[in-house]
Amino acid sequence: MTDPATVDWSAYVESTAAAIGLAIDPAFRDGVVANLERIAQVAQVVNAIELGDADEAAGVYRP
Amino acid sequence: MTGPGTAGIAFARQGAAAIAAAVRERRVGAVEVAQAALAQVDRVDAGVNAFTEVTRARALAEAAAVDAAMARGEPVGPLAGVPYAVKNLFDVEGVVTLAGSKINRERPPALADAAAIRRLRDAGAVLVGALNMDEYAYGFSTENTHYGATRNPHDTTRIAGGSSGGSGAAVAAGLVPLALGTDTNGSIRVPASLCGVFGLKPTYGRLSRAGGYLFVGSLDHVGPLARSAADLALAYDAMQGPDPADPVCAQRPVEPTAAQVGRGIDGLRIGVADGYFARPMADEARGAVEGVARALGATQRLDIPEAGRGRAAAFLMTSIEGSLLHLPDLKSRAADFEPLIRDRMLAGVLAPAHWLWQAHRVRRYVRERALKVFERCDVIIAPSTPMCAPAIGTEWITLEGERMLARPNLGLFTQPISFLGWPVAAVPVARAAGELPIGVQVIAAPWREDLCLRVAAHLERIGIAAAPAVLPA
Repeated sequence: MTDPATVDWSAYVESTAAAIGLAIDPAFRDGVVANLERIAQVAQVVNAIELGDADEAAGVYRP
Repeated sequence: MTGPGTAGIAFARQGAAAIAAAVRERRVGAVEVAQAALAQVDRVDAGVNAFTEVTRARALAEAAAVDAAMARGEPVGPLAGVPYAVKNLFDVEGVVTLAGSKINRERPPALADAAAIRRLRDAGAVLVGALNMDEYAYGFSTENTHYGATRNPHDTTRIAGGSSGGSGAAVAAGLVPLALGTDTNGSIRVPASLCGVFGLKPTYGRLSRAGGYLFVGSLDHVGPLARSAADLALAYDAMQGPDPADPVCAQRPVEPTAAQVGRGIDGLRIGVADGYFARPMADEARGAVEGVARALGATQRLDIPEAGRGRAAAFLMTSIEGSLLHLPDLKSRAADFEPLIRDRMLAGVLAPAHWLWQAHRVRRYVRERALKVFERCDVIIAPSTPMCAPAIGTEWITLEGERMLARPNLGLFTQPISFLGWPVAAVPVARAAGELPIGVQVIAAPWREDLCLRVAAHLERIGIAAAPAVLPA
């Protein structure tokens, strides 16, 4: 699993924002990077679970 | 219009059941009660800032319809003449659904009422207005930059909690006996705790959310706040039942609770949440749980397996799903978002898809393990908030030596339970004069709201829980 501390989140924000057409005001940029780092930390806890191919998400859509 | 009569004034600060009984027994007219409630809102709300809209004409018309039905000898509903108000993310016909935002203020008024409002109206309740909240329900404090912070009626320098902060404050201040809120990560239970009122977060999928502005559809619940467990039950019963307009609303029959709440706790196995729920908290939060546990004779300590991981997964779903809903506006007008959430929203839309999908898959993993706790108990007591209401503007708190961000951590203990979707009654602990309120969570297995409400009513009956209306101070 990737250690979030080794990721360049600033570069990540720049490239993914460009990929989805989101222009981020430079005034908000540091806050966005800090928040993404925090989400990445929490994702570590959830990604630590090894799921099998049969472990489906619980969908609620009923045709 | 004449002012409210003395009969209306006498009833306006009472509970929902008492008002409905008085209306049915012709001791007071619904219009008199509505006038008194409106007068109270006019007089008191400036100091609390719970209301963003007062639906005066509608309230008087709905009340007049109840009185007219009574005059014709027709049956009236279980909430006949009961004034209530709703978090401003519920559609109210003719009113713009703000969802706490500046952006949605530009939208046209709602064409129809939300499902929950329709059902309360059918039960005879009288809508007096819409209530303040955190923008898009993303927060636990109702420090709304666009509409001002809602103030805690017990101490107006403090927050009311959120995101249903207007709902908690309006009920606590006695402006209405009943309010609707929504709870995604704790947004009914946090304000209920900080404002000292009762709240019910039903099982995920129990009540229709149709016509309510979504926050995180995978986690959103609708529920009532009130000043007694019996009033919660009345409102909850009136809102039950399937609704094809909400894809999440379960195909379950109505399972009435109002006649059950007085049954006491005989035969119930009650435990106290341990493990994750023993994390750092203020003395008053620990004291509330211990006091309730003692009163219930609950000595068993229980670990809810994987609760911490559930909170982490709920955080991911909230950050990502809750933000993606707003991607078009984040692209075109990010500066119009609430400054307290804007950067989190912008970050959420950039997260890898894998994180969100993993959180959804882990939900079933956590569910299967956590449900095992009910092999050993029927009801679990846990803290609602880690502390009493902090001052408006508080950014950091220190709990047992651990420094943490105040706003997200108010939901530390509520978030895992809404992730699991289990029903919870938020129960305010009775307190001495001058003490700030705090509550506990009374948690049961899925679809057992009746047990939550029974324990809540029992705690009220033995004097451990209470939610007297307060005049803002």
